Amino acid sequence: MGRSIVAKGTTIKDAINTALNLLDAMKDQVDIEVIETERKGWLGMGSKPAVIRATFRDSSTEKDKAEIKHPVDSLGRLATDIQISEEIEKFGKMIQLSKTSYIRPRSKWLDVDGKVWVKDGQIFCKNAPGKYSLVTPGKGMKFYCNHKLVESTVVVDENDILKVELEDEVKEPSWKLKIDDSMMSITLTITPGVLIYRKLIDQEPDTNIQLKVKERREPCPIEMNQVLEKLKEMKSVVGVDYSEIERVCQGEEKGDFLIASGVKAIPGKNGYFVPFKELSIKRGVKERSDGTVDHREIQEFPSVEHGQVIGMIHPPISGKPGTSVIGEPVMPPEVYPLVVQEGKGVVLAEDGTKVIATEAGQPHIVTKKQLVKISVVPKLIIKKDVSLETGNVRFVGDVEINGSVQDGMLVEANGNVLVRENVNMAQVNAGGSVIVQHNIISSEVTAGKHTKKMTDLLHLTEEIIRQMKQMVIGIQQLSEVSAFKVANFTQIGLGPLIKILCDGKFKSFRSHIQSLVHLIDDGKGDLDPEWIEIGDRLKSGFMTSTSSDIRSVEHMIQLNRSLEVIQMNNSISTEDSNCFMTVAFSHNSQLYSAGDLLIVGQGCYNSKLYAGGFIRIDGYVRGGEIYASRGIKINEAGTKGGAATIITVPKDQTIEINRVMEDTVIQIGLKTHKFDKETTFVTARLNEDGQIYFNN
Amino acid sequence: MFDYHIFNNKTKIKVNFEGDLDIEATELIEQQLTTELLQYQDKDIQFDFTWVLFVDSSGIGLLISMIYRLREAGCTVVIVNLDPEVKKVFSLLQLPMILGEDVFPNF
Repeated sequence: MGRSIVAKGTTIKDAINTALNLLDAMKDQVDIEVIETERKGWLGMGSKPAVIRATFRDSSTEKDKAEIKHPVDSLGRLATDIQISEEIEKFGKMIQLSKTSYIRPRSKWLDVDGKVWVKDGQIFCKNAPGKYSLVTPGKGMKFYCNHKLVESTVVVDENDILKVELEDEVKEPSWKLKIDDSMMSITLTITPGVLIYRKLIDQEPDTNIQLKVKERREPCPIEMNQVLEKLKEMKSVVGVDYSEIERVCQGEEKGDFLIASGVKAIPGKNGYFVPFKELSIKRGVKERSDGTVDHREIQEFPSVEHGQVIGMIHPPISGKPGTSVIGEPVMPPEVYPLVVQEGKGVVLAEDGTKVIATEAGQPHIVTKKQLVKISVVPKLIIKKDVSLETGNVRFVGDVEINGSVQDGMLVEANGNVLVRENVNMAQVNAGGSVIVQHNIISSEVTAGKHTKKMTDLLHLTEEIIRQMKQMVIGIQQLSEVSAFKVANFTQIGLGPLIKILCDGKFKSFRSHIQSLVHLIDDGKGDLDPEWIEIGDRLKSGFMTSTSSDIRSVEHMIQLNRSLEVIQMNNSISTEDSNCFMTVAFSHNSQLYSAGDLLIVGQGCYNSKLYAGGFIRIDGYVRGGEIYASRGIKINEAGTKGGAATIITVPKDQTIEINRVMEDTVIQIGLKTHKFDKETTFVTARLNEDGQIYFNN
Repeated sequence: MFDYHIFNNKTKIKVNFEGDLDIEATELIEQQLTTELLQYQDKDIQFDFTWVLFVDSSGIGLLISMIYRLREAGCTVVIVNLDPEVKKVFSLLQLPMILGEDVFPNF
């Protein structure tokens, strides 16, 4: 038999090429026998290399073959004899090579001819005539054959010195402690360490083996003491979870672990007022005792009797301080008591905890942050019509009219107004809500006249604040120009400069100031002292013909700040516009409500309705204009011929109409729509493109 | 300190200003200068600011009132040779807008 070699490769072709390289032969000099075809495996597992046997095919093959049949050595001994003696030699060598006293079964020994194997981290090899063993080094090792580093497949001989160097690896663990910004927790971030021990895997004898290592990983724990030392350095005293630190140091998890927490401060509660019974009417609907809302309209206003307890003031409850993670106290937010301003008809008793009415009337409670103004507004009851006989009615509190308000008459009340009959060609202005149990005809009725006024005041104030800010910047810029003499301000005041600025950039400033001052003067009776004061300051600052009071830029900045404070104190929250108007029927009239507006009877005809809140009309709307800031709901709208009906809401609101006649116009934001035919159950709003769309 | 010199040639009246146009110049401007200039009705008046280096709000205020009064009397007014820093002040106060751009040729 010619020399043969068993070779492995990823593919049959590879195997053949390997064999040819090792035999140093050409393709046509060998015979190839495929022992195993390669197997691709699946998902990287179970793949098997191709195995082939390449046998030399030389000119002397025939001769060799013949001789081999009965090989005879130089001594003339028969090959078979030689073979047996060779076996004995092999046996001896085997014992020499193996370093352990491991006894192999006989059959196995016979199997190791021309093969190589790995046992207990050592590589063994047994030569065989005509057969060569091949070894391929693997990853994670350095394979030395006769002290030379080998990086690819080699033929090995039993006399070769085969050594494998394996590297153990130590990946050091790392950790970090971090206190969060609020000083309330400490996090231990851990990247665990690992010790990797590598060992050569034992392999059964084979003609061709690839050396493989197996890794044994052991965690490399973190020294808990180091962590504790660092914590001491950080002065961490509170809330340390030692068992967690221990667990995490010894574990193999990577990540952030909470190992210390402070104690959070418990917030307290500000002082507050609790009324004894439901004293405010919200939006003209009644609340039933079970808390559900009765959508029938309110027909009365609540009232208290002389000596009745209106409610209780509860003191503030302080919070409890906590502790930060470094042992410092963490204060809870401050709590403030409720400051009660006793208005008319109210007195505080029992050390400021009980609020008692000293007069009969309607309780008025106005809350602004931690200040509450409670007053009992007396009620004026007019037992008949308001007519030339009674004269016009002007009252600070509530007014109740048992009859009607007749032609040309005026009812002006700071509180609420109740009219049990009609309002005919008259004017009713209420600071609070208005209920007209029957009809309003050719009249002007306002609910929430103060809100309207306050809105105007605040609007002007806002504009003035903005312009003054710009003015200040302008003056500061001017002061920086070297040619401008600033020192003269204290001497002459800012008057002349402001005058020039008002002729220039700030043309509207002066008229705004004038309007604001005018409004304040007008409302002197109703407005808080802070408005009166700011009005005076604005007058002496900007409206004097003699030198202005304002002597420096700082002065102007302070004036502006005072304006901002007033603006904040008086901002109209949605709570404030609790005023509402409820009417049965309106004809040819103008109705203004700072809050909601409800028409609960037949409907309204040719009337102008304006509501800062919501409008609901249970009957019909024929002609006229309707506007509500917060949406409109109408049962029936439109006229069959006659004046157009226009219904408007802001762009983010909805209009709902159960039945719309043709020619009715609805407007949402700036978009209008005219109905060209009668439509039912319309719900209209703007979509994302700003177009009116309906979902019925 | 503030002072002025008036040069009258047949076509226009040139007034050269000198010094600081400020509160102390008030009297001089209000009483003397304005009165003197108002004699000249329907004339072209030129204020030369070459030697004016400092201004304050009263000075500017007076300048403005004076120019208005002169206009009422039918005169036209121009302001020339402004120092760059003084020009900045006039610009911040938007004088060209208040008085009209034609008052400031080559601004």
